[in-house]
Amino acid sequence: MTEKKRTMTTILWGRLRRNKAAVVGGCFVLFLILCAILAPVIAPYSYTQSNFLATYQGPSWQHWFGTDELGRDMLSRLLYSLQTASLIGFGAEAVELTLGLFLGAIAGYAGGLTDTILMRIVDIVYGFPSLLFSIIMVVLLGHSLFAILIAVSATSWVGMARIVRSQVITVKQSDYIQAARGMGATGWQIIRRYVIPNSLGPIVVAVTFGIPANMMVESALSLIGLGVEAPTPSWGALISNGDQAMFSFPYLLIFPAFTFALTLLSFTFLGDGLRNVFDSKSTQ
Amino acid sequence: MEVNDLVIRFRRDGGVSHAVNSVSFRVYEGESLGIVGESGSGKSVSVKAVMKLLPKHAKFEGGDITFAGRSILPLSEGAIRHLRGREVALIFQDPHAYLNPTKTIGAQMVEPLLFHRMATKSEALVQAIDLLRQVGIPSPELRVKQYPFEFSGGMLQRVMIAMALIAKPKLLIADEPTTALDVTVQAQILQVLRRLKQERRMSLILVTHDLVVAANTCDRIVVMYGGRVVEQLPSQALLSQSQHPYTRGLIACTPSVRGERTLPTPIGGAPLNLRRPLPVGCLFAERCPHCMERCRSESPVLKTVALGHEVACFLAEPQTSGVSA
Amino acid sequence: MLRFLGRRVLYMFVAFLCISLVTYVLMKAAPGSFLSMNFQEGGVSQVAGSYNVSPIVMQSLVSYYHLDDPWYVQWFYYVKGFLTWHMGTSFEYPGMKTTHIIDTAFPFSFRLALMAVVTALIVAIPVGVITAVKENGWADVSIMFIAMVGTALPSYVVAVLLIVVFALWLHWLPVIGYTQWQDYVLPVLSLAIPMIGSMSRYLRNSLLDQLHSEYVTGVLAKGGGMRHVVGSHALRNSLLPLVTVVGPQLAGLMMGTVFIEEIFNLPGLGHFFTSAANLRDYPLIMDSTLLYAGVILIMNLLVDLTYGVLDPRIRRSFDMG
Repeated sequence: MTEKKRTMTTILWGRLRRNKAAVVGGCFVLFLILCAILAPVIAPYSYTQSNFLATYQGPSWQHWFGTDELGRDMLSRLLYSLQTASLIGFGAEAVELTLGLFLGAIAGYAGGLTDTILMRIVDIVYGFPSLLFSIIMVVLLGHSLFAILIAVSATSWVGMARIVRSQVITVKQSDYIQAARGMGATGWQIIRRYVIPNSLGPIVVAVTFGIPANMMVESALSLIGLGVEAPTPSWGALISNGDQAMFSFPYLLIFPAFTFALTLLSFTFLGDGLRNVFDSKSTQ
Repeated sequence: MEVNDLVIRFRRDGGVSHAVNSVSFRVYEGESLGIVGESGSGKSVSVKAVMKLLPKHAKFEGGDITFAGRSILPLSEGAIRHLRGREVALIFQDPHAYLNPTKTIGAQMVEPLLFHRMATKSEALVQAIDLLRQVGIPSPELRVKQYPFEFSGGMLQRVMIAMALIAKPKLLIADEPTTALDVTVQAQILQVLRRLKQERRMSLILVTHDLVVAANTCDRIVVMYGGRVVEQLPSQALLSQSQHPYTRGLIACTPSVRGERTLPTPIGGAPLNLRRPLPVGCLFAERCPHCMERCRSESPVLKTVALGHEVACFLAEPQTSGVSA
Repeated sequence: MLRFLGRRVLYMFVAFLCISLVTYVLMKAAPGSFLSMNFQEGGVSQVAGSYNVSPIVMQSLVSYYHLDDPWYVQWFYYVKGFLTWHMGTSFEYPGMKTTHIIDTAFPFSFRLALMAVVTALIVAIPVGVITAVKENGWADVSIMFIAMVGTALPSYVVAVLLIVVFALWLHWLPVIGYTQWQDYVLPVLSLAIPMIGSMSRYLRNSLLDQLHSEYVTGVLAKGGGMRHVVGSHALRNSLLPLVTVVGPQLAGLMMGTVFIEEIFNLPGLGHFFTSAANLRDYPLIMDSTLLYAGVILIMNLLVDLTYGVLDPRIRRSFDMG
C-alpha cells in the first residue's frame, strides 16, 4: 500500500513538473507565503510609520515602491497587505474546508433525509449572491480580521461541500467499494483507504482555486471601504487609494494592482496545473 | 467502385495499430457486396476509408480507392464532400449516436439535399416524408417534426436509411446496420434495404459480422481477417464451396435453428492483436487447424479458384465443378 | 412547459423570501440598527439624534416599518413594501425615497451589466469556435492561455490594469465621467474580460465534446463541411451547457458593477449601495440588497427557461409530465 502510494505521488509530481506555468506559479506561491510570514522581518519600514517630509515619493533606493500620501513606505504596506490577504485567504479556506468536508461527507455518506436537508440548505446558500452576503456580514460584524474571515467563508463552504459530497457518493457507489465491502471492510477502513485518496484530487484543486477567490473577496471588501480597519493595509484599499491619485502618482496604483494580479495568477496557474494532473489520472 | 491494396494504420500514444493491411475488393454497379469478419478485422475501417471519414490519426499508407473511374485518395476535402451523401451514402451501426439529439428528424433528413443544393428546404421535406413512407414509417408528416429520442432503434434505423437515400446515391454503404437491433427488427430492416436496392438499382456494401445476414442479402461476399481479405466468393457458393479455414470456421460456429441440433463449433484462439507488429506469414496461422510450416514464413496471396472466387490460402485448390479459372 | 414555468417561478419566490428573511434578520441584529430602536434607551427621538436624522423622519420610520409589532409582521411589511415598490426613506439623503434613488441608479448599473454581457458574448462565441476547431494548434494554446489569465482576475483588477495601459500610458480613453460613449469603453471591458475568459474556455470545451461525438461523422457523411457541422449542429448543442454557466456569471456580474462603479466613479446603484453600507444607511442597504437578489434570481429564472426552450429533450419532457 505504501509502496503504491509513493509511486502514485511520484507519477503525479512528475506530471506536474512538466507543466511550466504550474511550476512557475507554484514557486511564486511559495515565495509569497514566505514573504507573508516574514513580513515583519523583511519589511524595511513599519506599515504605519508616516513621514510627512517624504510624502508621494516616487520609487527610489530608500523606498523601492515609493511612498503614499502620508509618506508611508509602499513596499512595506504591500508586504503587509500580502499578509492580510494570506491570513484571510488561507484562514477562510481552512474554515471552508472544515465545514465542507464535515457536512459534505455526512451528506454523501449518510444519504437519505440528512442528505436532502443538508443539500437544500446548500442550494439556498448557493443561490444567494455571495458577495452581497459578505457585505452585509461585514456591515453587521464590523471590520475586524475575524469578522472578515467569517464574512468571506460564510457562503463559500457550500462549493466545497458539494464537491466532497459528490466525491463520496461516486466512490461509495463504485464497484471496487462494493467489492471491498463484500470482503468485509469496515466503514472507517473504506473512508481511509478509498474515499480519502480518491477525493483528494478535486479537493486539492478546489482549495488552490479557493484561496485566491477568498483574497479577491477580501480586497473587494476593502476596495469599497468595508475591509480590515485602517491602518492595517489591504490590497483593495491600496488600489482604491491609488485609483484616486493615479494621474499625479500612477505608481501608487500600478504596484498594488500588478502585485495583486501576479498573486492571483500564480495561484490560478498552480491550480490549473494541479487540475490537469489529477484529471489525467483516470486516463493513465 | 474499386479498392486496391489499401493499407491504413492508426498512430496513437506512440503505438501503431495495423487496422487494414492490403485490402482489395470491388463493387460493380447494381451489385451488393457483403463484407464479413470478426470485430477488429478492419471491415468498418475499410468502408469508412471509402468516404475518407476516418479520424485524424488514421493514415493511408498505401493502396488506392477509385470510384466511377476516379481516384478518391488525392481528392481535396471539398471534392470529397461532393461525393459524400450524393454519390456514396453511409448508414451507421448505432443510429442514436449518429444523429444530432437536438434537431428534428426532418431537419436532419433534408441535409444531404441542402448541402448539395439539390432542392429547397420545402421540396426536400416533401421528399423526406415520401421516403419515410417508403421505408415503412407510419404517419411520416408527424414524425419529421420529432426528435431522435422519440424513436425506437428500429424506427431510427429506417430513418437513417431514408436519409441516406434522399440524394439518390449510386452506392450505399451499410456499416453493421442491424447489429444493435432485435432479430425480428433486423429482418425487417434488411428487407427494406434489399427492396430499395432493387428499386433504385444502386450498389450496396453491407458490412456485418453475421455470415448469414450477408449471405441472404448480398450477391457476393468478402471475408476479412486481421485487416486482410482472406476469401471472396459469390454468396450461393458460400456453404458448399468456401475453402479458407477461417470462412469454414465462421460457418461452423453459426448456430442453425432448423437443422440438426449440433452445438456450433467455436474458432479456437483469440483474434489477432493489431496493436502488435504483424506476424510474418499468414495472419490466421495461429488459430488455423491446418497450419503448415509454410504458413508461418510466407504470406499467402489471393488466388482464383473459380470464377469470382478467390482464396488466400496455400491449401486452396481450383474448383473442378465451376467454370475453369 | 407551463408547469415547468410555474415550478421555477415558485422556486424563485421561495428563494426570494428566504433571502429577504436573512437580510431582515441580519439588519435587525446589526448593532445600532434603527430596526431595533424601540428597544433602546431614550426611545425614538434619542436614536434619531444619534443618527443625525430629524425626529419626524424617525417617527415616520417607526410607523412605516411597524416597529411596534412583532418581527414577522415587520418582515411581512418589509417584503410587501419592496414588492409593491413602496420602499423606505434613505438616511443619507433625507426625504428621498430609496425607490427614487434606485429608479435613477439601477437602470445605469443594469445597462452597464447588459453591455458587458453582450460584449462578452460577441467576443467569446467566435473565440470559442475558433479555438475548438483548431484544437491544440498554436492559436488555440495561446488564446486559451490569455483566457485563463482573464478568468483569474476579478473585474476591478482588470479595470485597474486597463486604466494603467489605456488611460495612463496611451492616453487613449477617459476614465472619469459618464456622458460620452468613450467613457463606457473601459468599464464595460473590465466587466466583460473576465466573462470572456471563462465563457470562451467553457464554450471551447463543450464544443469539443460535440465535435468529438459521432453525429459529427454523420453530418460529414451527408456531405456537410465543418461550416455545417459547427454552424447548424455543434454550436447550438454546445450553447446549451454555456447557458447554465452564464446564469451564475450574471450574478457575479451584477456584483462586479458595484466595484467597477466605485473605481470609475459611476453613479450606478453599486455606488449608492457602497456608501449606504459604509454609512449604515439601513433602508437603502436592505432595499438594494433585495433588488440585487431579485435581479439575480430573475436572471437565473430566464436562464433556466432558455435552457428549457433550447433543449428539445427537456421541452418534451415538460410537455408530457
